[in-house]
Amino acid sequence: MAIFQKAYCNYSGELSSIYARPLVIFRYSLDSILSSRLFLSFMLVCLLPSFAVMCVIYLHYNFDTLMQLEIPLNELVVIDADFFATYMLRPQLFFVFALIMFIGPKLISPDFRNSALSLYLSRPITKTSYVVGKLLVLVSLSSLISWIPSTLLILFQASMVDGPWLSQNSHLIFAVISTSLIWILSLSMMSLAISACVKWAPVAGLFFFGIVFVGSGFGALVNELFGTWHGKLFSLFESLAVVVQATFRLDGFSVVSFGASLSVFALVFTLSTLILYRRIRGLEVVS
Amino acid sequence: MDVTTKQVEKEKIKESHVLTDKSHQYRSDDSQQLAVADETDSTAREKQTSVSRSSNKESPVIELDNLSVSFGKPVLNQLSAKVDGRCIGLLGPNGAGKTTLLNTLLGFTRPSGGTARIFGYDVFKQKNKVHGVIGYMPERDSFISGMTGIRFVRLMAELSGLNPRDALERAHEVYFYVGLGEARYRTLDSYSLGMKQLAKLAQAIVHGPKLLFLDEPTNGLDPPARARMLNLIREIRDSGKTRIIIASHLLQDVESCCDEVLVLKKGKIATYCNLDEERQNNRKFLLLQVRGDEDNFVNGLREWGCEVARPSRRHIKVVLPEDISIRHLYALAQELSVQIRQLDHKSDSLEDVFFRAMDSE
Repeated sequence: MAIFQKAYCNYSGELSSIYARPLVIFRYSLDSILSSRLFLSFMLVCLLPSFAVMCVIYLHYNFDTLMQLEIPLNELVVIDADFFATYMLRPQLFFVFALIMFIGPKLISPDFRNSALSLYLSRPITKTSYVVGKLLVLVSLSSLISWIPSTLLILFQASMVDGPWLSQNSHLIFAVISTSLIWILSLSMMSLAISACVKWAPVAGLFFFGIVFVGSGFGALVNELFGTWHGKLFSLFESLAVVVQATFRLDGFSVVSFGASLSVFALVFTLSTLILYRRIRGLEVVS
Repeated sequence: MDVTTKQVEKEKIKESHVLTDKSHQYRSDDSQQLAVADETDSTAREKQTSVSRSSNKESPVIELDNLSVSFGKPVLNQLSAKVDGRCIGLLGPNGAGKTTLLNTLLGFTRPSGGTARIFGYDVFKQKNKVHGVIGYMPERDSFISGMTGIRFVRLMAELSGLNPRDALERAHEVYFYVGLGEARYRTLDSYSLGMKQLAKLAQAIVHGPKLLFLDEPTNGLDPPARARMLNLIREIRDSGKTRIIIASHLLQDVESCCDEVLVLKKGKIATYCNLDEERQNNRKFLLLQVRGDEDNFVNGLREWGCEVARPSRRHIKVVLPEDISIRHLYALAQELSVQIRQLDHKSDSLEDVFFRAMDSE
């Protein structure tokens, strides 16, 4: 029958599981983000550090190529935990920050601006499903430029070396995955919380940038004024450096303990969750 | 042709137009014969409806049990009712608690006391089950920016649990059904107000809900668009598959669609009535517009035992006793040299019901 001749009818087909609903939000949000060419170009740029690291590893184990390029082996950096932390993970995590700042605010702010939450939440999905759906977008895209290529590069290095290199450095895989996920989850939740409070996406992006960088500046000011180190706890980048140092088992000393750094990220995550829980609701409360 | 024969014929026509596939059942509405049958045997339909209503053993559509909602001060005050109509109008002046009741039924507002149930499911404790059977068309502009109409409705269908393929199919069908078929690939931001209202209706019915909440569905619509919206609502109501709750300020709209009304006043139920029953209970009267010696004419009517009221100058409301007919009125008018300029048969409208509810304590 022609489509325009069909009248109102009920749906009697099968329904998907209620636990699969966040994936619907994830799919649609991801699709709208991937439709931007600018974003796709940005993703390619984010993969450049990983590509560079791969080239270095390749050159290390290919003397013929090194000789052709006339690069002496002793001029290449040593491939160890420090190499992976400094040249691979740190640039990647900076790109993760930029990516979350770029797309995080676009996920929730427009729904607030267009009063779309009442439409979402009058369906059989919960606040949690909604946030998880949006969070999955940030986590999956950030993972694509952080721990997934890093893990592959570590495995690539292991495949190039003769001997038990991987068993001796197995902690690197754990370090890469755990550090990346801590960073990604806390920044993503923070970005979603900000976008739930600020209806205009570009302003929400600026707020996110401000909170991360102004936090560092404020911490430095506290340290300067009161002659203490506690101001470092306001800096997420400082806390990240401590986590990287601890998980990669690097030499060095930091006044901020590993536990304190983890607590900072846990606090950011918890506060953001509370804000999201309060802000995500079917009707806008005007006080 | 008697009513039974017509019904059998109507059923035959319906059967010949029903197509069934694995997940959907469609009814053709191109048949003019069916429309004629629908119009001519409205009495039979009413009988059918009343039978189905009385034989309906499901839980009531909405069951309120001492429902209270408070935002510092009480907004809804111990509401208790069992609502079971096909289309229920939610009426009340501003601040009466209509929107709060709607938000509570949708699970957006937590009750401070009592319970509210939809088809037996507690609106707060079994939110997902409630949301699985309802559709909601909000009053305000609500959409997802940057999306085409069809994609928006498809997303809403998938969120209700339809698989992507069925969701796409239903989204197309429902877009044509509401009359936006040609605009389905345009972004929602480019829609006019009327189109946005229709898109909101489309997303509310795409998953075939058992209960449909319409919050001011005709808000901001021009007369043709309003008529179209009301027709769609009546069609959905008459399909018998979906119950409807309409919150509106426009009594005319509610009267044309609803069979029951729930009137709220200061957070309490002022009245809950069946409009048909109310109309039957109300006495019919004649509304006359006269010119000439009105006082004498009124006295003459009273001498005959007529109940007379004068709502305004030159207008007279008359309830005639059984032995007096309209012919007698004209005779009296001629005798007293009074001109009867207009004569209408009237009965109490929803407006009368509403104002009576507002006047009652």
